[in-house]
Amino acid sequence: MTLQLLISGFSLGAVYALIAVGFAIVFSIFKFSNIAHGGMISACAFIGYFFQSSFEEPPPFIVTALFTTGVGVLMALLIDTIAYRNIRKKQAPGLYYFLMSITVAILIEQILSVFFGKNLHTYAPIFSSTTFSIGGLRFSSIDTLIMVISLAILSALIFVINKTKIGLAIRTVAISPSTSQLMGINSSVVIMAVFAIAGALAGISGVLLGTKFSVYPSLGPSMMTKGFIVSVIGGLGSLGGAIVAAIALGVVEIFLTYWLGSLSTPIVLFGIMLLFLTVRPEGISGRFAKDKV
Amino acid sequence: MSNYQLSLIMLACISIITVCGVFAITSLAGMFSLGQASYMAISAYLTFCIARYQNLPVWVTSIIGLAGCALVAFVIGMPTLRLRRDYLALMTIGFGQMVQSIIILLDKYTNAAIGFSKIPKVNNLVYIILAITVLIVFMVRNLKYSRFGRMCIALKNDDIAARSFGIDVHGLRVKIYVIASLIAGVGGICYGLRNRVISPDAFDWSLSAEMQILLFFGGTNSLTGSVISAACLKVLPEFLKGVKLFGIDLQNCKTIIYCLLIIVVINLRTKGLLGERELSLSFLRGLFAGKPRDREGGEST
Amino acid sequence: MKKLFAAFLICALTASQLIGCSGGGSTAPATQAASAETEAPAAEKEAAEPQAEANTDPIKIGCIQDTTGGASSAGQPNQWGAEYAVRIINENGGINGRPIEIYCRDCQNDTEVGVTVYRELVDEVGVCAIIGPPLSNPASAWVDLATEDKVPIVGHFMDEICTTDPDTGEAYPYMFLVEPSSAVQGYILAKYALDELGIKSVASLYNTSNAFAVTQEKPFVDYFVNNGGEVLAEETFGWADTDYSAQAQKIASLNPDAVLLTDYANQMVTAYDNLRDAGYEGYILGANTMAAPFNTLVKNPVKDCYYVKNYDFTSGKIADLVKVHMEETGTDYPSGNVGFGWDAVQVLASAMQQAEDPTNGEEVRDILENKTVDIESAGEVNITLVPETHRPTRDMGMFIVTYNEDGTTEEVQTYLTSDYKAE
Repeated sequence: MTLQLLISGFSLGAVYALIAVGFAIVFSIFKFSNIAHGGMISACAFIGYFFQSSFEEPPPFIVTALFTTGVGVLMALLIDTIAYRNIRKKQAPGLYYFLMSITVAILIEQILSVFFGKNLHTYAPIFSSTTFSIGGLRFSSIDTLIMVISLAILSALIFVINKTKIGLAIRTVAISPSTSQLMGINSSVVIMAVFAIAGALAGISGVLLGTKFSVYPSLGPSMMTKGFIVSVIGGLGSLGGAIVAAIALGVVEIFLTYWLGSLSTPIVLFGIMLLFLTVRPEGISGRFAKDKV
Repeated sequence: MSNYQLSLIMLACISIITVCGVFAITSLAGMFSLGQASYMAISAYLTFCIARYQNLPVWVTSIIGLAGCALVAFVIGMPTLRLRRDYLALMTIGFGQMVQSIIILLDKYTNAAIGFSKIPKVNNLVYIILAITVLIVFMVRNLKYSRFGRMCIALKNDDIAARSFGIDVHGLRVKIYVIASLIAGVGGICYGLRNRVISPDAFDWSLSAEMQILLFFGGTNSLTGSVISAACLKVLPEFLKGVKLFGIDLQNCKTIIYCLLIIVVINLRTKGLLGERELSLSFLRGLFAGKPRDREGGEST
Repeated sequence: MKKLFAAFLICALTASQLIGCSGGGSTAPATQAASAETEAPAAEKEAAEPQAEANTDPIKIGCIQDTTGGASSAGQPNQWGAEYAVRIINENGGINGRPIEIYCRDCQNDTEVGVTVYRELVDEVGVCAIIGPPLSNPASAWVDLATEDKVPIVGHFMDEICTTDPDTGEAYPYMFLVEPSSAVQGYILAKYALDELGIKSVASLYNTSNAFAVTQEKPFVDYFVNNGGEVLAEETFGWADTDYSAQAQKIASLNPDAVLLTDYANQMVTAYDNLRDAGYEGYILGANTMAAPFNTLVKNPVKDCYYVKNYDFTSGKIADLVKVHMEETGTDYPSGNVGFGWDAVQVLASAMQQAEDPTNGEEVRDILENKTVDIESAGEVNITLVPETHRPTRDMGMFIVTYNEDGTTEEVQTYLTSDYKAE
């Protein structure tokens, strides 16, 4: 039983991790939690669904996923233009980004529920069976896929950030946008690249979450508090830290819910967070960044 | 004046009260809290549940409610405010979820998700709420210009420098946190008195976020700006009722319009409508004479 | 430009303040005192105004639904049903020759907004009755207001605390429910499970943050326990939870004969999938949100699902209603909620037709209370309100429905609730 719960915990953690990676990449540059990410996930889930259902025969999953990834990139750049560009120009503190992202999240959710909220949708299933078992333990197929994809994305991102030129640029801009500009790095291109990556992640998450759950306007936003908690505990825009925190939160939640019920879980969770942050104020990853909201 | 207009005034007043609480904590002390709505919930539930089960008048129990609210704020604030400033938003979200869970766990008394509806009727409520609002705005204004307020602003700008001037940073933070929670608590009681029903999901973190947005819309460090935006934006959707544009009922789009308005204003005027300025007679005179005076308070970020 | 905008806002505020001060000084205390103590002047005003004019004046009624909030997928069809009913009534000559005008407002499933729109409809628009939402949170805020203003509210707030005072058991004078209450729905499901499916033990999985879910789960459990069943676990979740596999595994390990799920459709889908993924094989009982599109949304095969349903979509008025609704709004599947809106308007219209002055709230209320007998609902059953509770008599039936293997639904049994007692 305990082992089975642990598997469920990892599955839930995988879902959180998928969201948290998108959070963390934006966080690493701008030092704010991009709540609008949740809205983007919902919007991408809807767009992916409409794309898929516009064909007689549903296209393979990978086609839909690639399409929504592209849409996610465009959407992220659009949101950057309408919401963040001006604030950035005025060098406003992180708080403004945070409030703007909340506003954008509400905006997207409302547009979806007012104009597309009449029907509930779901994606065509990817797997013929929802679970498979290994040695008497049941694994959820879609959760396993989500886990594999999150890990793949994570390793790809870590490779990009640590080994490539653009990664080096991202790391420099994360430390200081103005100094890196002086060093001949085009900060605005780097910033757009980061948003594009986040948008791509939102696109993939939209399809995966839409396949796991169903497609409805609050699909992404309802997970934002969890993503927020994970990205802060994980530590300051560190991708690895966010993943570890996501898995930890998933496992802790599953066990607490099993033992204490879902109502007592937030109470205990608050205590755990308080204790953890008191003991280890630098978060899981141990890197410091300032102005975190 | 119809009951409808009176109820709109009350709506605006409650919004002003809660935004004043956010002003105290965010604009003065520079702490970003998403838990103000939880303090509204705590004081409202304490006040009205005790009033019902102990048969006490509301004004007595509201004192108990506010005291309870302050106590909780103190207990939560002591450890939380010792953490790095960045973690406050996180902890307040966690706190909000905890408060909602506790309300649902105590469903024997609070009626959980169905909502607690046995709230006594108060006559001439609009005058009481107006008076409370004026009082709170006045108090927060005084707070801003007092020695205490200036200490808070020093702390907001640089807490190490503030400490080196002999300011007890942690003590000050706890104090302002408790004050802000108390103001939120007053807002929560007014909310209950107006609506006559309170339910846990009304006091979500999104309500706290909305207060923050109202504050920043009006002007980051401007009390008058925040008060104006709190009142205007809250009442704005009322003007969209029954209006149709291109066959779309604007009533359904009120939140969309509201969000777009905020995005436009923050884009054009990042520091909010009034920014750092306070609206006062001398400022107005300067505005109409064509040369706006810089600011009268002297404080800035 | 920015300065201008700021100046404009300032002017607007000052203006509103001025209006506030001048009006507040003179008239407000009078209305306040009136509504508080005598309650008479308000009613006289209401009655006198429309009566003074000719008899072809439109009758204004309000309709408050959640069309943009969390329950908008129920609120939108509800509103459509009410509007459509008004359209049909007007085409057939209205109420004794007077057309009905319906004013629809959105309450966002929020108490604060609910109070504001109620005040606007009553004070500004001057409606003489209101069609209410299917949710209890906003509705319970209007209980006292409706009594003060003498505005009858006819709706689907299934929770019994909206129609009767939980302390005294007396009905609130101006609140009327026109569908079986959530308690009755819970009893029906429990009765069916005990008698027809032979279920001895159940577990429940429901959303404690949602009044809709809570108010069906509790009566179900009460009835089930009082009639010899055993409840093994009552597992819960909240809005912030996205995955219920811990609860599902706990339930699966207890292996009850049936599991009760109550919440909105999205969460029902996740809960069902989590339960089946956890290896649970027994019966699943559900609220009426288990109707289509539940069967197309779940990933596991739908089997052994039984749920309560208000209407049989294949016959009667409701067949027409859902067809027209799907055509007009582009909804993909039939929604029983259109029938709720329709029924509420029918009950209200019938009371108004019997009244000498259909705009007189008091008179309409008396008729609603005492003379709402055998009004045909969209589902071709009769709605008769019990004067003591303001809820339908228990022979307003519910269907128990199950899914066939090919995904079509099948009405298993029509249950008349008059057969059963709570104990």
